[in-house]
Amino acid sequence: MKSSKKVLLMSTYPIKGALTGGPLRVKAILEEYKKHFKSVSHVAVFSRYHHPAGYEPTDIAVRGDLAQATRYAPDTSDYLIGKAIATDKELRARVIAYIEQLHPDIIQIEQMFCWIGLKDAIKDLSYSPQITYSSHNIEWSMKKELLDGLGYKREDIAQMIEDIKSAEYDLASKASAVFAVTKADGESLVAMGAKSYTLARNGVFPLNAQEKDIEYWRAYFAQRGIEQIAVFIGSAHPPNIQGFKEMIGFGLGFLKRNQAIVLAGDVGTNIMDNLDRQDAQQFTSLRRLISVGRLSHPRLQGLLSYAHTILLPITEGGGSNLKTAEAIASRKPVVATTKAYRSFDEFKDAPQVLLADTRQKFKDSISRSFEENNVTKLDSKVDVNSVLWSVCLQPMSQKLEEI
Amino acid sequence: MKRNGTVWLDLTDLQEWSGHFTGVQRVVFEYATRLVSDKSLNVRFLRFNQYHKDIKEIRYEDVFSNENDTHPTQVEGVHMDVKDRIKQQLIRVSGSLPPFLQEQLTQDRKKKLKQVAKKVYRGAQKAKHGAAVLKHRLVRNVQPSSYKAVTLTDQDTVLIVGKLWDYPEYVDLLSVLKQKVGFRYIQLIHDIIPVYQRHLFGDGLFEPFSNFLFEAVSGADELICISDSTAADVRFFAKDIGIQKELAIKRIQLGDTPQITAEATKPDFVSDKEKFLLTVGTVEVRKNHQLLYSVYKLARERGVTLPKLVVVGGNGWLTENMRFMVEHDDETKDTIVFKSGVSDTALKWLYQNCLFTVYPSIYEGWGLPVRESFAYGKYCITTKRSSLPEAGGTMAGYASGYDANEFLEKITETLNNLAAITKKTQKYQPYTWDQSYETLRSIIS
Repeated sequence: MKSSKKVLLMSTYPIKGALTGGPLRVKAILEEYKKHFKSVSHVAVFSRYHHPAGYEPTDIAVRGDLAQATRYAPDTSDYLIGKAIATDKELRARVIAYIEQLHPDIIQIEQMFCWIGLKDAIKDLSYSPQITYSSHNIEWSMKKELLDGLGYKREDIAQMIEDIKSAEYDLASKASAVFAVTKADGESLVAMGAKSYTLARNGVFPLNAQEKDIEYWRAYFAQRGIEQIAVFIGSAHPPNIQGFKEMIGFGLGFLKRNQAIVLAGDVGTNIMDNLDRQDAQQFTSLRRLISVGRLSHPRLQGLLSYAHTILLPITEGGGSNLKTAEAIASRKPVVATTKAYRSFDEFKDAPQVLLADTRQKFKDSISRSFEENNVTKLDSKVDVNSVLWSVCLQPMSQKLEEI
Repeated sequence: MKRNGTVWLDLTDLQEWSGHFTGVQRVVFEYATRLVSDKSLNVRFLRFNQYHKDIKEIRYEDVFSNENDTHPTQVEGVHMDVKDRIKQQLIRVSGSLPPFLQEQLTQDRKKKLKQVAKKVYRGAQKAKHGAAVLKHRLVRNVQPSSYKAVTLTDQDTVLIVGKLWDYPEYVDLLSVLKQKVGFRYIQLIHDIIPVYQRHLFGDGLFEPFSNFLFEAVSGADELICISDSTAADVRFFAKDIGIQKELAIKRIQLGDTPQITAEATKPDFVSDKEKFLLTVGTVEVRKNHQLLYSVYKLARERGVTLPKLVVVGGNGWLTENMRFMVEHDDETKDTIVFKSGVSDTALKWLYQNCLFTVYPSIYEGWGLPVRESFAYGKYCITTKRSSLPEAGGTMAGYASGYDANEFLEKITETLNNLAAITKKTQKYQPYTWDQSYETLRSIIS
């Protein structure tokens, strides 16, 4: 029987049509909660410039000068929006009015940024909802690492990092429940003031490729003389790009003519846009490197189904890896770094997984995976279903029912 | 794996060639003429048809018959006859003019008439060449029933010696076929200069060349290089593109026997007793003629008189500014003379009668002009860049390709000691194309 508690999830991005990363996790949480609670909603406080088409009518888009400020700050718009929930009178009023109208018993903050402003704005409410924190990463250190990597000056971002850090500490210590994607993150949150944490790692929806989508890719690659592909799916998040460069790079002459590495998602677009076409190594990599860009969900499923090997060249970044869960659920051969399997340790010794932590070993593993040509070398002792969202997020709904 | 099939030599870049064989085409020709007569191998020829995007068999005689105008000496014979005949006619006509008209033919007017005649002649040659190319294209690309599609098997060997990079679709097709069929693929690499020395070429070559080289180095069963320097460059490229295994590259030396059997004929731009230096090669930035300009200017500045420099070679790229300077500078316009379209027999005369040759190239795959100079018994001053020390050995003189002073000093030293310095080169034994072919044959078989 479903609980009568009303739950509202809040984030700084819409989740309509979510395919990757944070939005996909929130979408999965929403679906999971709907199985256990009668009333579950999500609201995004977001910038239309970064999500021009995919949002719900009830999502709250920032306006005016604030919207302009976020337009040219894709790396810090989450912070700007979060802060503005307190400081921008118009936005504050709209957010509070929405919450009042919905009157949730529990407000779950997805990725702490809304809390930067909400911790103050919440005083405007006529009642006191419970707050839970759904952490996807240790945000203050991730943001610092991201902005450092992009070349921001320390003095320019110091206040921002401090605001995020103090809000994250505040949320961790005040939340009625704290959810973490890895044990390491959970322990960090306890150190930041959380009384305890509930582990709810990232998962995937079951692979459900249609034959027509698989056939699409078969024809696409056949036209290019390619018969075996190793796929790396990712956003343009810097750790994805860094991981590709560190573990694979552009020297792809070790691949045979009928083999290719395929990049799906913005990781591919970013790498292609920044390719130096006057450098012999980078230019000739295009003979064995294909970017298929952002894909619809069915096409992505088809690509995963068609792929011979999944690549997980993850070398940095916190949180746990949606891509790892996807790779496990696909039952395909995987070439991955040890870091990619953090929080999925029970899967890393499976026979279809080749772990490699140096570039040469990673490339040799790709060749070996192609050579072995063993599409589903699955270890029957491993329960692949345990990476599905429904299993991974069950602890969250259980905890929410308890509080 | 021992293969019992056919050895296919690719003749793609010769099928549309018309005129004098130079460089890469010359190499293809020399090997083709020996392969076709080699009864120990089952040799056939193929070519890529870029209009139909397929590979067809082609007969040796379709590419190299006299009537198709592609034999080098045949073309040059025609070239010489026409030019000589026109010249003779002009001399005869001017001689038979009435005295009052002959008086009007001042030196200046004669010179202008000569320039007009040259332009008319060049225009006629271009039209003739264009007609020949069109004829070749029509002949080659209409598909007579005798042009069969080639079906390669894993017992076959495909030998590529020519400029595959000019046909990107052929590179793709061949690489896919190689993967699918498993024939033996042997690639001869002359040089890889366009990949890491992009500054020496205009736009548009780096990409097709790099793509070709990537497929060749990653896909070929045998790589043959024409120098140790090229082999080292190829190994560097292999590492760059992520091939970790050590490549086994075979080495081959190109022949340098003088090919022109006809008697040498003196060109009209050099007078009988004139002493001159010679440099032979396409006028492109890599051959570094700009250094020679600096050398001659420096000589002038120091009051040193150098012999005339005859530059023989077709027009290349990235040299317009240098040519303008040389040809408009009063100090050099008569001492450095550029000549293109020089006949084989005239070139032979130039080699035989020059004091020595200079070849200040910045980068080479081998350095055939250095060896050709030796084949004529002539000393050559070149640079120590890339493969040139291999080609020059202990017979050549060396100076920096970036130091006009050093190069000038080498030239003046040579001029002052010519007899002693050129003793060695006069005993040089040319490396024959037959010898080169033997190496190729041992690699194939």
